[in-house]
Amino acid sequence: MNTFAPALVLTGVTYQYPGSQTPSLRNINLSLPAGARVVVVGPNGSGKSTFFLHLNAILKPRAGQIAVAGQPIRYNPPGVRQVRQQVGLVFQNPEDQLLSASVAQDISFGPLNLGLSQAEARRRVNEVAELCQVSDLLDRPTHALSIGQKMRVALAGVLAMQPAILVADESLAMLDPWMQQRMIDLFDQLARGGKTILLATHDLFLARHWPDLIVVMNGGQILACDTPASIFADRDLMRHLGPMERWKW
Amino acid sequence: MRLIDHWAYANRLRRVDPVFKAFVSASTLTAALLLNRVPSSLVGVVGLTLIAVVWAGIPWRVFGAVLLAESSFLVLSAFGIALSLQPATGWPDATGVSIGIARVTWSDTSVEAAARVFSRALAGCAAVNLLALTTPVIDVIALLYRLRLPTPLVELMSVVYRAIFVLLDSLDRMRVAQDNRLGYAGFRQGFRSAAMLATRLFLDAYQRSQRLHTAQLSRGYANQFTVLETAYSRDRALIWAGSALLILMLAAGAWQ
Repeated sequence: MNTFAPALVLTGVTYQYPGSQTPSLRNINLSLPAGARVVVVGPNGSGKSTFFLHLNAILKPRAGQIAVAGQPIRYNPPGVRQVRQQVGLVFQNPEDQLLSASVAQDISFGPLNLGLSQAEARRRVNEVAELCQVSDLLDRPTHALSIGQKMRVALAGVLAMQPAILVADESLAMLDPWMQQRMIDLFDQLARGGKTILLATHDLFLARHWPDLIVVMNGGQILACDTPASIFADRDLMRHLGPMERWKW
Repeated sequence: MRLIDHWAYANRLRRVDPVFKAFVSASTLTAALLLNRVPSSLVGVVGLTLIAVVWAGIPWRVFGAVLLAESSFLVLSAFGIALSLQPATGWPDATGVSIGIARVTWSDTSVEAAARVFSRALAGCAAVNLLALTTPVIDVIALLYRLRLPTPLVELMSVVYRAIFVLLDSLDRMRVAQDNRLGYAGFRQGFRSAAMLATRLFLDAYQRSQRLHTAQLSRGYANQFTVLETAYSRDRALIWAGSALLILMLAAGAWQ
């Protein structure tokens, strides 16, 4: 982990959905170093997904600023295009992400949207397919895949855009333990290659043992951002991670 | 639909350029329509069936089942053309049978017309089935791109094709969930559950479309749905086979 260059800096970010009475994000201030493995935890409705949707400009904050690789996000078409290349977002349910009828075509969707040639897009498709172990699936229809295969294809589709930051919104939740481990191994490999990984999860075992940093969210606020050892040493903070009875297991 | 989709990916002609398959399909369909003769149409049906079963490796029962399902509709139409319903007292000289106060009649001309329509339509179905069972929809979509059809139309086809299977999965899950709680235990419950399922499926489709749109945006979508072009085998054997079938159909049409 490179602790000097921040990959992502959020300053005073606030957001309220149209028609909502309360803000979903309140004055978020956060700085994450490049190459870090970060787990975002918090109860349902704590604002994790809203936070993630801000990171590649799907949502625009009502107040505050987000900077990716030192550059504040510009919300005009070139700026949005740039940030969506820099920050890749993988959703919880791959069914919500797979758009094309065939695996190869789906993975090529992002690179071709970046304006790459067919040849370069094909090269990237083959490269990420090998990384995500879906090379043998490239000619298959997306609807014929298992959920684990769909998740790897969804991840490949995002990695084909070569983002510096990978954001996974509870992307392990639907997978069996073996497939979860394969995804974690892949995230480790990507982090070693310099990518910053943000993963939202309710898996406290994973949160305790895998990341470099944990971000704790509740009520649209960031309660803490620290190492797992520090977070899990704070009993008050741990109450926000889950019922204390779970720790007696 | 899932059966057709499965074989479209699993057959031995999968890698052949869809242009070649479309040529065989379109040319036999056109020949059957223009020649309008029973022998040539039947030769077309046999030839297309052989290509599908022997060459592409689609099981007899699959190709036959699809063709049988279509021909059941055609048989009804053919009966409608061949037979006339008369009062029992009218046209006593016409060939037919009396059933109570009615008389069902037919003539050589009407039977021949029905046979022509039936065989022609059957050949058309076989031609389209060959394309459908050997060519995945993604290849058909790629073909339509190559044929320069309007891009939004082809993009819409692609997304709709993907959405069909996503919604079918949702439909299956919802139906099992309803069945699990005795939603289809009786006639009335069945109707009520089916209505609820239709409503819920509509909402599900809407919510899913919102999520898909978010995913599209996050992957740099900018109002153009562009994907990789597919590479195909350019082996022209199928073209020659299709041409031979056309000649056989012409010869059969000339035979009295």
